[in-house]
Amino acid sequence: MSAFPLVALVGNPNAGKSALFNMLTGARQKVGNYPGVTVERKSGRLALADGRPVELVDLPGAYSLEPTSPDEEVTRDVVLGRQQGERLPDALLIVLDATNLDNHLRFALQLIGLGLPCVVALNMVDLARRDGLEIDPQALERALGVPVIATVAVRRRGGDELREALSEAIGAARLVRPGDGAAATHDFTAVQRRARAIAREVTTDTRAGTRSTSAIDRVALHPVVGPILFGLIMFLMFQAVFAWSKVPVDWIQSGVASAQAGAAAVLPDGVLRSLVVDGILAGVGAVIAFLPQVLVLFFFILILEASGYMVRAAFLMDRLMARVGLSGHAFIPLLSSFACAVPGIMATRTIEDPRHRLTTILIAPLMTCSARLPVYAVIIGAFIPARGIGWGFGLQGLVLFGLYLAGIAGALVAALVLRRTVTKGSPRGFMLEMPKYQLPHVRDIGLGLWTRAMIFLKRAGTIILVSNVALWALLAFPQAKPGQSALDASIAGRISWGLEKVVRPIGFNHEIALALIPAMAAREVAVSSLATAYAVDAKGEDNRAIEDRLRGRWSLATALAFLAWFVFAPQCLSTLAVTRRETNGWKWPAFMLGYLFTLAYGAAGAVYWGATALGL
Amino acid sequence: MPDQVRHDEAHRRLRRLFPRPGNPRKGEFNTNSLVIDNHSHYMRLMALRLDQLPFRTPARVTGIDWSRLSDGDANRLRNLGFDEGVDVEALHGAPFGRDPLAVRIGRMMVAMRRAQAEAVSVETIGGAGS
Repeated sequence: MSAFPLVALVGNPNAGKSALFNMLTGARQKVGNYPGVTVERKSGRLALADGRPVELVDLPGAYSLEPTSPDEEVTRDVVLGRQQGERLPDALLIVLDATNLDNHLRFALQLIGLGLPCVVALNMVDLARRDGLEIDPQALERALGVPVIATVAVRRRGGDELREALSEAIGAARLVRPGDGAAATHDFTAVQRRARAIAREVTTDTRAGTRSTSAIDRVALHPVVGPILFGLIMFLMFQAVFAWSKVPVDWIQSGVASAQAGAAAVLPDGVLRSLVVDGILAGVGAVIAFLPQVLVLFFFILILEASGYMVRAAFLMDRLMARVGLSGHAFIPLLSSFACAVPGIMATRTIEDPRHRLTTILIAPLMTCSARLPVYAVIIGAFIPARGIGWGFGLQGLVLFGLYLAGIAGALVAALVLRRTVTKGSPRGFMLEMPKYQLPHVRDIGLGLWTRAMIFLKRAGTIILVSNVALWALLAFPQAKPGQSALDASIAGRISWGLEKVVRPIGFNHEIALALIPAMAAREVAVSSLATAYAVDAKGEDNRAIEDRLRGRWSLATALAFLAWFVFAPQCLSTLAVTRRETNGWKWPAFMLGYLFTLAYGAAGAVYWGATALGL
Repeated sequence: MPDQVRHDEAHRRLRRLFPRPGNPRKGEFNTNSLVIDNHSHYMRLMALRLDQLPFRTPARVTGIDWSRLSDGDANRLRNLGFDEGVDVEALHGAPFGRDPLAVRIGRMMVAMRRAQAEAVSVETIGGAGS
């Protein structure tokens, strides 16, 4: 790809950059990382009007060439040709939000001043019109001295004109305009004022303000109604994760079961059949069955982000976060951690304050990630009766909600303690743009879901499958002698005896100790490990669902302690690996591992002994 | 300027700020912090800060005390477009203490804590509460 000319897509946050990128590149996108930093590099291929292919790279949103976060630093370094691992772009495609020209033009002026060939996409002209703004693209073109194309990225308007303008821009002689560009961009205030003057000049304002957004905000940001609405959205989200995914999960499970039956019929009895049926198919099945839940959760998160509500949620939560020494900024990475702590921890790079950021990273694994869902779902399904509690809500959903709340409460307390001890430091402000409300576009949500699903399945296909097969090997060898339990004879069985001594006081049995070992790769493996452990133990004759098998073998106190353990335990090597990368060393992942295992042990113990005392 | 004229001018500004003097909308602004005495009150009025601005009162930024802000906060405030002469309006306060504030600046909405809004001096434009 590097042989093609490079075009950098650059603009303010909330200018509709991602939608424009999706419109221009479609599904041909590549997501990677810039070397040495943790900023995502998103690129795709785009054919120009004259047929030449170019590589389009979507730079992180920035307000100016004076960065306030690592993301913005990457943007500045790329356009200056200083970013390691990136060529100086051959042209810049600058995205402007037509409804917010006075702010966005400042960055555009700075970028144009760099002297690279530029094309300006005047995006969201439809929203501007809705707000009563008429913008004259020709006048803007004259004022800026570069081609200006009106676009509506979410409706795929303006793409051909952009390709045309880029064809002309690439290969054009570099423009160097002393006085106008380089010199002027050094005086920030002067650029700012010039931007406002140009915005005034090209805009005809027929009405004031962004009406629809402020009408929604009167409700969404209302001091009483706002938090209630927010709570309802969160509650709906978690109920949906359970309810909407039930049918596809059942399909997948019966599909895997018939595949297992088919394989068992074809393959001769022996090690190979055991490997395929109990190792590979059981492991893969457990992972894919969990995909619908991931998709439902990401569906909600992507919609919250695309609609503009995510920042409002941060606004509503800032006071609460400030009480535990964080800011509303931390809310978005933490909310993302409900899907998976790995992207959540990576999203902390938008937090400027290093101590806030470190604290957020350390508590992110306490947000109930979707990998815990299969664990919770199996245990809740097995031990909590599916009873209604009125208004269409069930007891199982309530217990799930309670587990999420326990994680949140744990995270808040942990943040409070951490901010007073290991990440002590002065508080920092909370300042960010609240984007306009927008109807999320099907294509952007679809592409987002597709990317997430692929990332999840890739992870599932590697770490989880490998650990499942390794576990199967540990469980299957050496083969049991007649009269001996298959589990007791295996290597894993022997390793787990040591671990069992440690976890026995908190009510865990040998199979749980055994499942905790491979669950270090990923929490959801615990379910398939338990399934494998009990399947191997029953020598394949026991075809009951994992829920039924657990019900006979665990007490309710043990089941509840197991749930409590998974609220806190750092059972995810990926999370520890990404923490190592984000904090540049083993110190903080080691700290995370230690404090979370301590919490998990304490919580599981308290629940076990509490439940036992209550006679459960 | 004779003292009486200055005094009257100050009262006119106050009246504009608070259409019903001494009876501001509940929870929005406390007039007690604007003690009216002989000479100093109009000075305080001129120094109205963004965090003191009543909700839904259009105002104009008259100055920003950059020294009150950390480097990061100052940079971000500048990047969000805060500058002398721009129009601002406090629209919403978050639950539990009306902090942070949702402030309209130009055509943009910005969330900021009161602690940072303190650095921004404003004067009201048009009629208050209009």
